[in-house]
Amino acid sequence: MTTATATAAADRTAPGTLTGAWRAFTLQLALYKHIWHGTVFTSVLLPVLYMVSIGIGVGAYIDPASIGGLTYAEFIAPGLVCSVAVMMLGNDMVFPVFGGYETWGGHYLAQRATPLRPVDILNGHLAYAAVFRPFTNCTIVAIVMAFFGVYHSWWASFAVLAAALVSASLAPWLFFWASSLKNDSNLNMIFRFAVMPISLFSGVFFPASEMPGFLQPLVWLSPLWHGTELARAATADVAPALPPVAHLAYLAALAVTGWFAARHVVQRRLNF
Amino acid sequence: MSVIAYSAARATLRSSGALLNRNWIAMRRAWILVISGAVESLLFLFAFGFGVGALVGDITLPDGTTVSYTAYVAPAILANAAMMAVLAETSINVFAKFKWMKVYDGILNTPLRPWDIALGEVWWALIRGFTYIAAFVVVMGLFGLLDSWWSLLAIPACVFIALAFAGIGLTLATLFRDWPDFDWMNAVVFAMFLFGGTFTPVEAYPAFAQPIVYIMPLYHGIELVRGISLGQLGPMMLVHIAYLMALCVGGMWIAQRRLARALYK
Amino acid sequence: MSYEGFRLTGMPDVNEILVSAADLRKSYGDHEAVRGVDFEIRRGEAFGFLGANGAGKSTTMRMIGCVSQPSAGTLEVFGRDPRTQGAEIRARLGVVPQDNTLDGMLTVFENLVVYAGYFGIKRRAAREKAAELLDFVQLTARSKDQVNELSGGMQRRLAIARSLINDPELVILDEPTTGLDPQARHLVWERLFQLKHRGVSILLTTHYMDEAEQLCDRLVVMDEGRIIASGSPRELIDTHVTKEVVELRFGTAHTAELAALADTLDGVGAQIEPLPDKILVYTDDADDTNAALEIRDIHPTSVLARRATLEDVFLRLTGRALVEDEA
Repeated sequence: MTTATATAAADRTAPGTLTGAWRAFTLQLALYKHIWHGTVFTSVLLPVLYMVSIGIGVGAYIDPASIGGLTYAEFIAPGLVCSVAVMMLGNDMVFPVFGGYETWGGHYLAQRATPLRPVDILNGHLAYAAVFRPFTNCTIVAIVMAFFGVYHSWWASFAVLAAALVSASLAPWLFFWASSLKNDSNLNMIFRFAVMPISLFSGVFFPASEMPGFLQPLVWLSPLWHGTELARAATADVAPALPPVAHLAYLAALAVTGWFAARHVVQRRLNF
Repeated sequence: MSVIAYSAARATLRSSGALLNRNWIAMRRAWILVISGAVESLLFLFAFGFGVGALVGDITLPDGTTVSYTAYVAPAILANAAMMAVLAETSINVFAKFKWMKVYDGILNTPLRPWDIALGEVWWALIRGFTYIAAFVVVMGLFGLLDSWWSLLAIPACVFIALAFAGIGLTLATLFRDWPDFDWMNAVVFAMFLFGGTFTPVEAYPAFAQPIVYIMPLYHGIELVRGISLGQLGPMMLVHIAYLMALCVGGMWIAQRRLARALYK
Repeated sequence: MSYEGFRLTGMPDVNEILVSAADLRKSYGDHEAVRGVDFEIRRGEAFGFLGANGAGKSTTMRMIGCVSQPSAGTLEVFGRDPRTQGAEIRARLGVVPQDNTLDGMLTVFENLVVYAGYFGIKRRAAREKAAELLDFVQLTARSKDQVNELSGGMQRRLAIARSLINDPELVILDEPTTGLDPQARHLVWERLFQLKHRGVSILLTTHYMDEAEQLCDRLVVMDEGRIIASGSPRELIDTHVTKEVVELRFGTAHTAELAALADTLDGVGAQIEPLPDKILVYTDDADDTNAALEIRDIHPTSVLARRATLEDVFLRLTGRALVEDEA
């Protein structure tokens, strides 16, 4: 009897795009239940340590005039909200993606054996890493920052949106990269040559305009710089480097092109 | 007596050298991975030494002297580089060889003893750390952060930091049970990096926090390297060196004891 | 010790004792893995420890290999004390552990050269020796491959080559063919035969009876931490079982039914042993047993007459089949 009811409950049609992404997302969510306590470090402890040591500690030696009249804590807080988004992607979009294919655990392969299509698997993972994670964890970071008295108005809550945009623009590209790799020994390279430089040189800790002119174009490429400019506009009520629409357009363009690139590679790897 | 001591030392050197040789052969194919480790510390130097340094300008030290913030932070990041290179090698890599790849299980059946293994790993970590330190010092020189040839003494000073963290890393490798334990280690290391006197003088910290900082091994390393780099030598340096050496010897001793216990069942 | 008859002239003193143990014991907490064993291993012989998993073979092997301290009793290897002179003893031993413990980050050739370094062998000599040993275990063509690209049998052969890098006086092999397919097993056996012919002393553990019969000049049977029998394979068979064994199966008949049937067989052979799936009849002549069954009008579904093996010895000594439970 039990088998009969179980069979009747199963959906025997192919899922649509939204349903498929939702089902793939639920797997990520199930895994998250096992690691959520680890996120206490990235979303609470880390920002607090940064704020105390750099924001307040080093800030005591910095003249607000050199950063547009803000206190140094006010200056770095919005960037930290966005930085945590990038840091989380380093956890969610590198090893888990690489391990989704045959080499390690193979979550993707397991999902591929169900009615889910490769694109559903991609969308599900992106929904987790670029929507769920920033909107939960970066919100916590933003709230933690509030205790340092660095906000001017409720507009500050838009910093979380900026962080989510940074996540969305970077996540598909990380997915693309981790899916294209054949050898796990090069996985760590992404931290050294992408995550770290992006985190340090995107105007989070010092205005990007201070960097030598020939490096400026690299800063403009960094999604974190665009996100930080937007977030700082929200929290500190200062004008961003470019019109907000330009920042938004760049991040959106990066997200869309990244998604197509990621879709291409996930279909190549998971279609038999 | 000295002849016996000499030949014993020679035998130990030869045995630990054999393990060093193993690591060299195993890692020479992954040299890009090893060398590129130096990049991380350089990024921190550029971001905090030059980027944030330009915002701060000059900093007045507790003794009243004034130095540029860049010259103040650079030696601390150098000390951090020495720590990170050696810690990564002795903790995570040794853990992988010990519990995961079972490399030492094979070595067990040879005349090598756990002490030789511990010593061999320390040699290797020192060599790796030394390449990072040397690269960093060269960059410091290129950017005019070394005022005199005396500043080159920072290199041997870093060796003490490397030795201390080699001992600590080895002990952690034998204590840890699984990979998540390393996340905790990284959290502690990161907290040391932020609060060990890297960015601001410890004297500016609240009074209750200062004793905690004095326990941090990295603090002693930073003080040592910064003192040499800024040309402020003093008797406290001997205390720093003694503390770091004690950590090295103690750590290696515990590590080889624990290796022996785990391997010689 | 029939083997000594074949000994080549010019070999070292065959009566030299390489390993001797008296009342050797090893406990882990409350558990006593080895409960007082005595044995002697002489130069040039192939000596086997036979027993099920958990019998104490591997523990004994680890004590001889100086990677485990005896809890009590005396043990001498090359006339030295493993408690204090472990490194000196290990310098003269070759060990093939059950799980190979090859270095996964190194190639086949590097595994040998690096291992040679642990024995203080100079680089040039190590490379020559490594090449020679790869040839010996027929892996020369794979010398540049990573270890994990090799099959199980190849990895075992590489581990054997590695154990020979220091020209050991005694080679210890812990279950050398466990987990290998039949073809790979035969290749390993063949190489071990070669070693024996070169006069290398061999000490091996196994739970395969055929392996012990093929390779060992002398062996001891271990069970629950004790030695329950010792001698050459032939001696053990002669002493503890009859020359031949007849296996009888009765359709789907099982444990209890077979035990009842066994009672009716009294007298058809020297000894009757009911097992869960069959009945063993130990006999000096299988034809006589078959005739006796015929006379009693007993017709098993299948009758298999074979030569007695060490398996039968083990069964007779312990009263149970040698089960291969993974420890």
